[in-house]
Amino acid sequence: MSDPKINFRPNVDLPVTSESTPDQSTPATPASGGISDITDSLESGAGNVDSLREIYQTAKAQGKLLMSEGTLNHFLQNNMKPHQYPEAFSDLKGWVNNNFLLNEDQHQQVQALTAQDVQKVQDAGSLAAKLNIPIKLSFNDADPTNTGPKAITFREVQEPKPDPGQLSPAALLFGSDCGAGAVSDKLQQVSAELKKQAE
Amino acid sequence: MTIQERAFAAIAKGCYHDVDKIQLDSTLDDIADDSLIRLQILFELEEEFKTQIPDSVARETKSVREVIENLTTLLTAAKA
Repeated sequence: MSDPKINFRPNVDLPVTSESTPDQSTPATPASGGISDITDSLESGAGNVDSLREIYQTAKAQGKLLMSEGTLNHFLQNNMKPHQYPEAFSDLKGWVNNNFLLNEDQHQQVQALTAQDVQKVQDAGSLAAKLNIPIKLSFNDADPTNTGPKAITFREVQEPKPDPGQLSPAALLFGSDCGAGAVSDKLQQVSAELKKQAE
Repeated sequence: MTIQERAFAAIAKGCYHDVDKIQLDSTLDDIADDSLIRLQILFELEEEFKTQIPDSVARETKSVREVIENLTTLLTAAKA
């Protein structure tokens, strides 16, 4: 799967459409397998789960998804084909707003995207479409010391790596991380090993 | 519809997958590597079966098979 590190500030998963105001500083916990591990990260447990349940229903009623890095990537990888990225990203802000229920903070971040940020995502989407591989976006805080609303930044859009099924023969021999340098290094290594054996 | 069919449909709805992608032996990690999505699956299951799945049960449920088993237990207990 491609991972073009398009960095996005960490979002908070709870949109503002609920009457309750969940703690917006609480990120989701890493997955650990159980259905409701996320409750561990919610300060008041069941109350916040109830809020989330309500927000989820709101999102569903609007035909939208809750926004988090996980849901965004899950959607990009499981519900879209790579060839659909360029069209979706051609109006990135509109696409996000149309498909995801955003809280106020997330909404501001999306609006704060610069033309350059958008272009990076579009370029990554085009590349992923060309290579027919799914894309993964990473959220990253632009400035961890900034306690106010933070701009979404997209940094270091890396070329997606092909899926194993699309690897070149060299990649199949030497692993997926097979840039020209890596292949050359590996060849030298193999050559050295062969020489040793011959001696 | 059987409990399994209803559970498969609810899980698929919660994780935006086609229902035919849900397999009995899949783990929830296989289906969704994001905790928020797994929580959505929980909401869908609760809505489908009109029941509240206790947090302790939800935390220990790691596979689709366990989802079915735990739901069956919960529904049986509710009927009794």
